[in-house]
Order: sequence, then C-alpha cells, then structure tokens
Amino acid sequence: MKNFLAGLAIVVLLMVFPLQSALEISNERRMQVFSDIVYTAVQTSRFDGYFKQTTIDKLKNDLISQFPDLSDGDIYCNVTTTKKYRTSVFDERESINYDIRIPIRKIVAAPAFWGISDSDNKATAKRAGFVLSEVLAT
Amino acid sequence: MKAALFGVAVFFFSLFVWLFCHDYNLNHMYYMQLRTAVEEASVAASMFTEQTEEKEGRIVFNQVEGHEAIKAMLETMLRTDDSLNPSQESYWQDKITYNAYFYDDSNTIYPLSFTDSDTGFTFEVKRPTVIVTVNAGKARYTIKGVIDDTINIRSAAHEIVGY
Repeated sequence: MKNFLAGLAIVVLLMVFPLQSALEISNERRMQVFSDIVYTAVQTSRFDGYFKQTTIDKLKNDLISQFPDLSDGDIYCNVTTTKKYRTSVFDERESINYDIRIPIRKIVAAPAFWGISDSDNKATAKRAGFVLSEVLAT
Repeated sequence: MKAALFGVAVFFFSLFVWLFCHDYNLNHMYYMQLRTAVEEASVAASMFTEQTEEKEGRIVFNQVEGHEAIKAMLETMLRTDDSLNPSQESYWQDKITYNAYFYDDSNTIYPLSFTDSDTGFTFEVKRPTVIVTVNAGKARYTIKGVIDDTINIRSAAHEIVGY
C-alpha cells in the first residue's frame, strides 16, 4: 500500500512534464502559424508599398479564423499605412514597418504546481520588422 | 523510502529531459526566425542597383547601400545594436556576423556555381544575385555541454528575375 501511494505521488509529479511538453508544442504551432500569416501580409505590403486596409483586414481575419480564442481587440497591429517607394539609396524613412502581436494564453501547463498565478501565466507572440517597398516612384 | 528516492531521481531525470527538449524547441523556433531574417536581408540588399548601369541595360548592385540594408535588417529582426551585438531582449548571445556575395553583370559570367564555405549552401547563379550568410552564434541551452556548441548559421539567395 505504501509503495502504491508513493508510486501514485510520483506519477502525479511526473505528469507535469508531458503536459508541459504538449502545451509547448501547441504554443509553438501557434507561433509558427502566426509567423506564416504575418509573413504573407508583409510580402503583400511590399508590393503595395504599404499595408492597405484590405491587407490588415485579411491579416486579422486569418488570425481569428486560425485561432478561435482571438478577437479583433486581442490583435495588436501597428503597421505603415502611408505609401513608401523604392529608393536608390537605403533610407529608413521609406521602409514599411510592422509590429504585430497576439496573446498566448497559457505558457505553463500546471501553474499551481510551480506557484505561478494565472495573471503571470501568459505571454505575447510578436513579429516586428521592416521590408523595403517595391513600388517605383513615378 | 527506496520508492521515494527512486521517485525523486526520476523526477530530476524528467526535468533534465524536459529542459533539453524545451531549449531545443526554442532554438528551433529562433532558427526559423533567423532563416526569415537572412532571406529578408538578401532581398533588401538586392533592391539597390546602380542607376547609370541600369540605363545601359545592365544590373549592377550598389554594394554600399546593400550592406546598409543588410545591417539594418539584421539589427531589427535579430534585435541587435548597430555593431550587431545582441541586445538584452534578443535570444542570441554572440555577436552576429555576416557575409554578403554580390553577383551581377559587372563581375559574373553566368552560370556560376556558388558554394558557401561556411554552410555548404550551393546555388547556381544564372542572374544577378545576392547571397547572404549569417552566423548568429550559439543557442541558449540550460544544460551545457550536450549540443550547445553547435552554431546557428544560415544562407539565403535572392536573384533578380525578368529584367
């Protein structure tokens, strides 16, 4: 009986690891899908010279359709919305900037086990950078 | 008592295995971001061409501006300072180094077989092309001495098509 109880306690302790691994795989997939959606929007903006409203809307719709837990208000989207042009010299003022973030709701599978509160058990996935416009100045 | 000791040993063993997997997966994720950064750097570098040569129907890269664009891209995407030293919030720890190869109408007879000496990346240059190789250094591993000596290095090429 004693051994059985000790074994049971060990199993409960060890359950933390597969649960955590499963959560991390799930979060990693979320990050990868998020990156792919942002990448597509960024490449579209490169050809348009800026983030058109249709590109922003498509980006948000794609994110919401991929991640049902997201709402429009959860998506942080700070992007260049004025037209930029291709230049003959590198000029940061003519770059198309983007900073897009979505929340990751849970990063630790058993937060109570490690003494982590629910408010601390979250993170933000962020993709930020710039691309250069392909649009020629006429 | 024996069972409890065995349990504690198994717990720590599991902790080590999980830590390794966690660090490995994290490194994989940032390695994929490095891939995107290198691709974007090669695209950015290929955007700058000599206007006078272009009027003659030749594509010749402006290498000075190309290097400016590569550095700016790496600074932003890998979160470094202007000397390419990673900032506090960057995943990377070592100074970022890169090599850029510009093949254009001024210095290349097409086709040219390119092999990167650092990565073994091979590419047949058929058109004006910029190839960038970035070495982001070692990954962050909590358990030292297993595979943490492996460096993260990546190459990407961008060619100008249809001119």
